Amino acid sequence: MALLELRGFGVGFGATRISGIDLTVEPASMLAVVGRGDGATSLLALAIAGLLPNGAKAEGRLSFSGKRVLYLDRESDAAAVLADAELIVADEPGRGRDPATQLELLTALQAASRTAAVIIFTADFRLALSMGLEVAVLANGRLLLRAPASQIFELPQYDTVRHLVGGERLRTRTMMRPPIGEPILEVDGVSRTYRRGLPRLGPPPVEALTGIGFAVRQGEVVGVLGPAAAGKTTLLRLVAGLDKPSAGRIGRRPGLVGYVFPDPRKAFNPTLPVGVSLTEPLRVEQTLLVEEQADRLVDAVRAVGLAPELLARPPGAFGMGELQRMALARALVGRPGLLLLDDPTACLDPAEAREFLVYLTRVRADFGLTAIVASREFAVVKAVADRLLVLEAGHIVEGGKPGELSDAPQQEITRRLVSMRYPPPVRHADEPVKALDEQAGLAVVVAAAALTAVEQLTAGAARAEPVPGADQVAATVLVDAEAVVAAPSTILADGPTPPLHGGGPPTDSVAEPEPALISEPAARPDAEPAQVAAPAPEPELIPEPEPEPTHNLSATIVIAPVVLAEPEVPAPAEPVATPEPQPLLAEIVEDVAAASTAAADEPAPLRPEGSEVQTPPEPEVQSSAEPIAPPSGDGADEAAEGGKAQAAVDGTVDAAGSIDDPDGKTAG
Amino acid sequence: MSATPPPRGRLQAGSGVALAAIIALLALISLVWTPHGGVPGSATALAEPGAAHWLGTDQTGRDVVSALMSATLTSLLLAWFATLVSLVVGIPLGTLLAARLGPGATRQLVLIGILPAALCLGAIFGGLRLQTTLSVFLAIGLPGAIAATIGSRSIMAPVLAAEYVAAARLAGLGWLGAGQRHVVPMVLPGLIALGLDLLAAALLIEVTLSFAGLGVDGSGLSLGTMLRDGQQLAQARPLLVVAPGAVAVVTALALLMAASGLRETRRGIA
Repeated sequence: MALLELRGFGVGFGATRISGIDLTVEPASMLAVVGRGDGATSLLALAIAGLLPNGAKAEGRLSFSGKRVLYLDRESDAAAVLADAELIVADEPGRGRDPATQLELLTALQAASRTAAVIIFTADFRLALSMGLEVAVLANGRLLLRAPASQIFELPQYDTVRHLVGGERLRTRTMMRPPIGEPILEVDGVSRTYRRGLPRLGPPPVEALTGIGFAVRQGEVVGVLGPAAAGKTTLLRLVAGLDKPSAGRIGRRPGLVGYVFPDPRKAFNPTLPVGVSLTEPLRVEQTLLVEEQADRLVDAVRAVGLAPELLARPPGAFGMGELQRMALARALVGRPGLLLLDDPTACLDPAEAREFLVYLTRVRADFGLTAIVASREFAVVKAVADRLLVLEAGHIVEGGKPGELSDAPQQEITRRLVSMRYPPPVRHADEPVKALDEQAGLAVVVAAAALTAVEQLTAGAARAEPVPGADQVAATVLVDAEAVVAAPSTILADGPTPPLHGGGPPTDSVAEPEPALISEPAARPDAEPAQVAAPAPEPELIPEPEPEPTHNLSATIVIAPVVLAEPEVPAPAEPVATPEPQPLLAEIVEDVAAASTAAADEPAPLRPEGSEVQTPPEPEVQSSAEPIAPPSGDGADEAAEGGKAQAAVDGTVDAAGSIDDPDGKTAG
Repeated sequence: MSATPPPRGRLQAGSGVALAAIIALLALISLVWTPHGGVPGSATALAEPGAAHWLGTDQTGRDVVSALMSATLTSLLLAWFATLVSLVVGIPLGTLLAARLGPGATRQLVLIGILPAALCLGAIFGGLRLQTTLSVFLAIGLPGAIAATIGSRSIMAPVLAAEYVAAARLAGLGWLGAGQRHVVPMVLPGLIALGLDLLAAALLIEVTLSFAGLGVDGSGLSLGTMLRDGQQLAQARPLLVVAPGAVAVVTALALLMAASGLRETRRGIA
């Protein structure tokens, strides 16, 4: 008998409404309910835990046959996981806590799921993915589907699912960056101490910052990476002039400073339309004509992908992601000499964070920004910064390029921040990508979707206990660095037969040179093989009619469903759960134009010529009852983005300018 | 989150203000007109309530309704000026503290807490033989100023530290512009509510001090002195005590209700 059963369950509270929820949870199981960070998941969590606030209206049936429910919120830690509960409801467990605490909590939850049913409510799809959980997706107040996390990659027919899945990694690409020039900010030996209580009588003063020194040059984006309470906010406030240093000197070129705060809800006066707040930076420039002011306003708002009509709304009418982009627009209106961003993605869900960073990268190019970005997440600073400073307990402990820090972190704190991940430790596709970088001698523009696919494979490999019924098969991911450098480039993965969808449109729809296929791993002794295992995908494939939703896509992957005539795979370098290894051929084609020009054709399996392979039967195309959502409002932007990215690739071999997150370690 | 205040707070604030305004209006009318002039000896002493004297007359032959109107005016004026002084001293001090030290530990000030302090001060000033009205004024004003300082600090601090204020400062508006645009509109309702609270407390303090003989001097007419004088005849003519007591309590409650309603409308708006 099911431990928890919801039938046609719904609940409404304020503007948040969920309805028609059918959900069954068995004892001693683990489920992740993934939704946007809009309160709907939290409301459902509260409803299941029986903790609905006053004024919440519930309907339908919710039956719980156990005795004790344990409710955990984001503040709870591992000590709160008690053994005697039959149902554990965890709302954003460990979100915003430091990685070690979160890891401990999630591990405890995993252990508890041997005896109790554990439901994790989160906006972070990566959590479910890396823990290999079964996922129920909550979108627009309804449960869309329920499937193992790794499979959701293959079922991209739901807009929201794709949105959530897309939020899995932060990826942006710098375009036409302004040349880096003279220093415009010099911070020299700056310290800031806070006195507590009366001088000499109270407790000793707190040192928030000690001996900080660095410079920021024109056109440069410096990332400040540090855990909570490391002094990031203090540093930015000092630089902005909102606070005075206790010692040291801050030299800044005169001019406006743009500032983006962590919580956009607090950064706007709640009683004024956002448009009023956005005009503030223009008031100092008395010389500007009214038309020019309006132009500046509209420019800034458009640059962050929002409609000028939204300016008449109060901040409460915005979602967090949009409001934070409005905050970015406000910072841009005054054409600041220096832009400071204080943990700008802290309050955003992963998809919103990704959008924000995409727009930030874009305005950086458009406005020629100089900026300091502080964050506790490596993926965030890595995505936008040229150079990082690692801040710990008020000291700069390390600095360098993002790649240097992730490859060879010198400090423990850097190592921790760079490798933040969820349990169980998942084997990511780092190795092949790094090998590719090294061999090519370039930071190669790696196809984003390819990484998604590779990671999907690895996520399946890392599942600690195979889900009963789901076949575990081995796959080999081969990377040929040379092939990647020469576009179209190729990543090969041998694995199971049914097609995987990397998210990109099929190459058939675009006139591109045939990709160089490598079907025999043995034929390429120079390539570095990395062994990963993939779960057997579901036999059904849903067509992917839209262009890859990723912004500024720099390449497209096509994973061809190919069965090798001889299913021989080299022995995996690392032991993985591989009952019956089957080869799968995955191939990446670096294909920028496809992102912008791909038509919404029916995908057809790629039939590579001249390779010793057989194609599998046509995948059964499921005519989904769910209407395919129209492209999001950003579609045009994405297309434009793709075009720009193409220009960047065509024009220069500035592959080093690409910033991606091959590690896929951190986001949100 | 919503910018529209909940109607309950508005209704509450509106009723409180309306009630207090009616009482204040009646008190002000006493300057130009009262039913019977309110002069001692103008009528039979201790007359029963009736058509001629709605609430009867007191032992000096004064019409109680007329006396109440004048007494309310005296009490309100005393409380008003003492509160004004409290706010004029307290708000700048509180703002300074908020700007320098941030929010204090006390979020909500229990205004009733200033009563004992005020009574002690009233007794001390009485012992010092200060002019009695001045002593009431000081007894209310001094603890009131402290209360206003603490109260306004807790109102100002979160707004001064608000990120939208910082954003306005960085946008080039400076403290002055940011204060005008963001701080003042945001804190004004809270400060008004604080003033209304203080006014209610001041009224009750005046009544208490005068009742104890430490307030408005013997010949003066306030709600407190009316209570004191009526008390001797409370057995025979309970109305002489009930009427001024009721006016004092209802006025104070109306002010507190207005203050609380005003705060209610601002709930959820930081």
